[in-house]
Amino acid sequence: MGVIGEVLGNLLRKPFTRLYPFEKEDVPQRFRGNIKYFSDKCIGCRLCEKNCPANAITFHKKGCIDFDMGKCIYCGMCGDVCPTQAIVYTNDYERAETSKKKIKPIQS
Amino acid sequence: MSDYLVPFGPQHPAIKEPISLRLKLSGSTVEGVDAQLGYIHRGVEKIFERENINNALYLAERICGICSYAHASAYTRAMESMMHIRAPPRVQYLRTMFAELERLHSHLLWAGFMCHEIGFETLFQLFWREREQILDVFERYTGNRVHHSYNKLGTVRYDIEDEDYIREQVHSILPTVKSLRSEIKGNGVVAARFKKVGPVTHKQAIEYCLVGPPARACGVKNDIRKLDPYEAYGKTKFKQPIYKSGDSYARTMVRLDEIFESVKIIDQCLRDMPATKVPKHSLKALPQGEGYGRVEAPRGENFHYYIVKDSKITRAKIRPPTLAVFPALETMMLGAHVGDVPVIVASIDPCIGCMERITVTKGRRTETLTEQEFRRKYCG
Amino acid sequence: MDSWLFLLAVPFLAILTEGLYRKLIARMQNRVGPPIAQPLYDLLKLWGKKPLRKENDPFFKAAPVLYFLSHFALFLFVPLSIVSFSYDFILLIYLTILGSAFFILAGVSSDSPYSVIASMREMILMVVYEITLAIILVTVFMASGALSLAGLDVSFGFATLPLAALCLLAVGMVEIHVTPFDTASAKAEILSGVEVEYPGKKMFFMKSTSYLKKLFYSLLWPTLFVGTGNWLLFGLGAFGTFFVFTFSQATTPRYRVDQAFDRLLIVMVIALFEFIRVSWGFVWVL
Repeated sequence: MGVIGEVLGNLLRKPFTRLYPFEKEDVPQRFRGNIKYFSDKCIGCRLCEKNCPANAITFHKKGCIDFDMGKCIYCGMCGDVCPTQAIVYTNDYERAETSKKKIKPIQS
Repeated sequence: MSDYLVPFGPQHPAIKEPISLRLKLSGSTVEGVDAQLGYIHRGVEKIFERENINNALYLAERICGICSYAHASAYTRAMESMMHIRAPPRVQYLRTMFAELERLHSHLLWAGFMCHEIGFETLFQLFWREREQILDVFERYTGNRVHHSYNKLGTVRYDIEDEDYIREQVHSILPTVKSLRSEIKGNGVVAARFKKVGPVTHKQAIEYCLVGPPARACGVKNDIRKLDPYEAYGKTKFKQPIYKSGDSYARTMVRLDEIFESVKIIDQCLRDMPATKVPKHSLKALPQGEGYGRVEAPRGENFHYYIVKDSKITRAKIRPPTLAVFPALETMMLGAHVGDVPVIVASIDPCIGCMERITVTKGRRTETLTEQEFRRKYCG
Repeated sequence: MDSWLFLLAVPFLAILTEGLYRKLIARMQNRVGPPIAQPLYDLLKLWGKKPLRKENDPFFKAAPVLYFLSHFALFLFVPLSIVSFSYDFILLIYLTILGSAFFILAGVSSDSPYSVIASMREMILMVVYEITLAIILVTVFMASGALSLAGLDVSFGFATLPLAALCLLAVGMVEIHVTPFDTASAKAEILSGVEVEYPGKKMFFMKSTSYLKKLFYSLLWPTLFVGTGNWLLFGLGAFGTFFVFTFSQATTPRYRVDQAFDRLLIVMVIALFEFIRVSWGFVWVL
């Protein structure tokens, strides 16, 4: 068989790839996409700021935190340490921008 | 006498990362190689200093974009040996399984890349199609395709729910990989491009301290999973594929055989995994001391060493597999045809980003400095 | 008059060939692939680009255009004999050699070492494949007894000259740069070789010539071995040739230049054998 069989089989098979911007794929539940911040749940413990490996989080006051998404490495540490689940990860994965300035920080 | 110099890199499609090899050619035979590093030196060991040990895990993971889990495992092993903690059995099995899944994904990626080097675009696409099945597993259980952030000190982030999904995905790649392996074994053009290309003898392999698949292709048994079993590798049964010829073909076959061994290990892990709970991550109070960890990354032995003071890292030393294999590159290339250079470079599966350490290149001069000299000279 | 109109259709046919080629390869690799008109978009984009560097070398400027013209001129003879005279197949041989020579010139006149290496590889391979092509053409004309492409009677068919037909396929693979003989334009080794330094409109000519070449060699094989008499059979032959090229690209890796040379030398010996066989009169007619 080898590659010749594979190639001839592929001619009859449905393509494996997708036309991405037109056909979007669902991501699994655990996927760490864009951050969502619930300011009403925040108790102001500053654990997220302390534990962020990339120093992407700036704490102003309780219920007011800046997330610099250009720095964020999507490790999920802030959501893990948050005692009240005020920070959750959504399934939104389209975070690429053409310029650094266009990456908007997430604010409460 | 060399006739002329041909620059190979720093920007070249055969190598996905910047590295400059200056080839001295006589006719079309390579007479000498001058490797110039330092194009993507990121100073990662310096960044480690004064990092909290819980946060530095994510930095360790980002040393490499392909074997990220191997770096995270080595880091975890180093830190756990320092803090004298041992993960519970279920966590050990989970870590073993994900390390093997990563080996699958890395080897499939590499196999596609190797075929791309010799212009076999179809195998490249097909290997990468199968790799997507493994990445789906990763995305589903760890939340990301490449930088999994799965390990935590003493535990792992998530448990797995349905084991059948992993089994199904992993076994779904086997028929294609088997048929593609037979193609590589039987295809005459592949044999012409791989066999007797970049050979290393058994003696040279020991002298250069080769690690991983390049060493196993010369008949050196140096699998860390066998020599120094960590996590659950002591409780699983698998073979380490050994080839004798030491050329690019042997290196290819070692990696392709390892794919099948990895599937065996994953099956055993799923079967033997005790049904206990995964403990929650808890922060220990200010650990200190020193610890080292070594794991068998897909490319060979990966070594991490850390000194920790009050839960902050003060010194880090990382020896990724490519750093050990790289010096042998010149031996492999001497006397080779210039058209074989991309194949030889690809056959050691180089990860330049992992490997770059303090080497300052200024003009055409290369110097190697100690830490003090470097600070005095370049850090003001 | 009709046959002159064919020249207008050639660019579109070439784009269609390239589009089909990409789509077919994509489907063989289980990908969706680009739209069929993608080569047209590529060419339009290239046409709109400004030159990147100051070009003083006249060869650098002229080579792509001459390369394009020499290959476009091939369609005067194949598949319809728009101009026809005695021994025009000799001119055909010269034109293909001229085209390859301009390709080499384009590589040598650009400064990149990769294009120079690509030109050297093409030069090494050209020694074999152009001679093989000449041998095959002469063999075909000797077997049919014709003097020009218009009078070519190929009713004897493919079965009379099986070895020459196979050799022409191999030569076609070298000419249009598909694996296993695409050593001169290896992407992974030398950045597609000759084209690497060419910007904008010159790249337009280089690219469109590569499309023209694919079309030409898909048409040359049926012209010589199926005949233009029956259009259905001719179309089938052209598509079959095209499919062989595509299939070869999808299922084989690339030879190193010395290995490719050795293999092509064998192809030349086979073609020479066929030539000797025909010249001694061992031709069986079905």
